[in-house]
Amino acid sequence: MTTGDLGRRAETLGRQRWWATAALVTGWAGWMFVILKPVQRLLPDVPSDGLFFGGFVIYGVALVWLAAIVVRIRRDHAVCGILNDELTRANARRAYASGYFALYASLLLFAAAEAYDLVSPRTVLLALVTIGTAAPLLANVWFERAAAK
Amino acid sequence: MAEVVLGNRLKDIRSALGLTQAELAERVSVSRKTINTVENGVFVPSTTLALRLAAALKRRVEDIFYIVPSR
Repeated sequence: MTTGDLGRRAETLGRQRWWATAALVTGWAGWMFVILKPVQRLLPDVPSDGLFFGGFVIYGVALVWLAAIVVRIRRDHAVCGILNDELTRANARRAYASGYFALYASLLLFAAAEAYDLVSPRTVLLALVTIGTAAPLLANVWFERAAAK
Repeated sequence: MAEVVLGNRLKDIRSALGLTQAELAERVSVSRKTINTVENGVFVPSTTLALRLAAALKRRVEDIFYIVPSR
């Protein structure tokens, strides 16, 4: 492997990991969104079955894709080291912190909405799980992309 | 206490040696984006990384990094 090849390989795998993560979150968010009763009531014309299936398929494909990328990264120790350097770890810590604040803000918002019977506890639970998962993942993608510019 | 700002001459030294960000990144086993953010002053590297950068560039750490005098 010549000089620069390893770095390029790491960058390619890192970029693929971002896109797989974004696809995973999009699929999951879409999947969660359409099973919410208020959404079905507000948007009765939306083909919820199709969206549900579509979101599920995107989620499933992205999950397999992401798993394959992670396996490829883990097998290559040099690439794994490059993709787990200190900036990456710092970005991950910032992403977790962003996710925590997003989740906390959502919790307050949904608690207020639930108090006025605007949303059911089940809806709140699904939304919080989605936000709690999506916010740190997307924040991490955002920080990583910003650093690579 | 005034905030301490870390400046660096990483880009100048790297360019003088004819190295790309990717090549330097590979020498110190970090990603190119780490070199990019250190050069731009966005990311402050750890002591370990600063020492590894200095070793890869065959310079002293003080030749690469310096504290920007506060006004």
